[in-house]
Amino acid sequence: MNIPEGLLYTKDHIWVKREGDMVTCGITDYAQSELGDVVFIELPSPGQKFKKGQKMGSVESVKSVSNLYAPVSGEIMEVNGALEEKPETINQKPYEGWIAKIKIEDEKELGELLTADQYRKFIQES
Amino acid sequence: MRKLPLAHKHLEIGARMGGFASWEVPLFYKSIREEYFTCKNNCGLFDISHLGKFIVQGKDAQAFMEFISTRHFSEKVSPRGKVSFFLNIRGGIIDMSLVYKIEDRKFLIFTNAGAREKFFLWTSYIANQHHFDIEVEDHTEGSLLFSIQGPKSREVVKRAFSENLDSLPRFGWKKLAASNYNLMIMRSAFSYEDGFEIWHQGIDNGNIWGTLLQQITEQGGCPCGFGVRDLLRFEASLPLHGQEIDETVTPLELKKEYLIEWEKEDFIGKSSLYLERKIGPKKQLVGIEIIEGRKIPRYGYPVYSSQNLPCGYITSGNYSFMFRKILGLGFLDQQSCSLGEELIISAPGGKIKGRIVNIPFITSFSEKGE
Repeated sequence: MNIPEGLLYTKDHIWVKREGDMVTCGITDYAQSELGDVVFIELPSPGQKFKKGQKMGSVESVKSVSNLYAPVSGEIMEVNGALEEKPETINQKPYEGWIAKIKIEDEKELGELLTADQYRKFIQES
Repeated sequence: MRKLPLAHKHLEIGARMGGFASWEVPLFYKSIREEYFTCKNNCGLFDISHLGKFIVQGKDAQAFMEFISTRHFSEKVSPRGKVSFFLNIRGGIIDMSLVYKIEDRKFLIFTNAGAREKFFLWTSYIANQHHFDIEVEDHTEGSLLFSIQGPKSREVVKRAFSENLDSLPRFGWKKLAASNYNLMIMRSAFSYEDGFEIWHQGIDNGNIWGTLLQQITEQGGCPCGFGVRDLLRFEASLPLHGQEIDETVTPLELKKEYLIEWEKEDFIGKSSLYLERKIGPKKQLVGIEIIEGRKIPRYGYPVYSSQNLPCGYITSGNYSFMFRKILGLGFLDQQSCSLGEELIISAPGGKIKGRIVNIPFITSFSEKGE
């Protein structure tokens, strides 16, 4: 299970990378392997605002449909439109197949996310 | 959860296990997509030991099978198996199973995994009620069943068992006495490709699996999980117990009248089916192609007509890698079943627009894989 150091994680299996006043986020390797083959991804739209934990999209895999929850509160600045054509990127390269860039609304929320070690432990225990 | 006899072998090669019909089965080994195309282009090996495996035998076995199933079986041992319905008295489906007459008074029957207990209870009950002198033995737990599907499957089976299978017709079977295996090879494919199923009455520590795995790898194939199996059966529009099949569904609603031998004197469910045939079935299984929206229709989603009237429900849905389309199967009221008719499917989080298409999907599209 690939859980890179230096990223932050949510208990909803979203990875988060901070870049200035924005975060880039996507689905973890664990999540993609649980989902199975991803066939469609419903992306949020730039300009949409979400509170932390709100549904911002969904992922359809051959096995099931799963919601995507915003890892932090903020505004969607950019989405990875390439996923619409190549949703399998999520399975093949989960940490390159980013989903959205979100402008951080509340710095404090970043501190509530899990480190790689904490996320690994969370998966093992769940 | 019941465990497959060879569960450890699947874990050794990286299977992702998951639940299906009270069994823990391999869902996939690498990825459903990869296994799908490998199976379509070369061949795939499936462990389907979870399927119900029954032997019906005894003095009245012939008469019993004629009475309890919709097919006619010849008096002699038959070189081919038959797909047959087992119905309740209202014509509802207990199961759609594969039946082989392997000896004079002995039948081998493979049922859907989800129908296993029901099949055993039903056959035992009918035998008892009607005083048939037969025995129904459930061999599910103590035997292995493998499936090899795809264009190179014949080569794999030939090499694994050193058997010439060129003359084996579709649904033909052959018992192998060679080596220390107690094996039966059946040419039955659920994927519309060529395919074989191997039944071993016993557990052999994985030797047969190992041999098949080696041969399949040499042919460019791979082990495949249930993700692929479900997609293949879905594209072929084969009904699955608990989804397309249950006791509220009849063979006519499934559009499978060709599996009913009306000329037989009697069989359970015949009079109800006969009446249904006269007045027409209330609902029909249809294929649905999604034309707007990017959601897969899943079991139980309600379906509405283009006038927004409720008209049915979805039984299965999937993304077809072959057609690169989202497709669904569902039951619709008879008056809503015209080909080309547009429909609305209500999915959590939104609506999906679909159109009725022919089934099986596999012959209704001309495209062919990647």
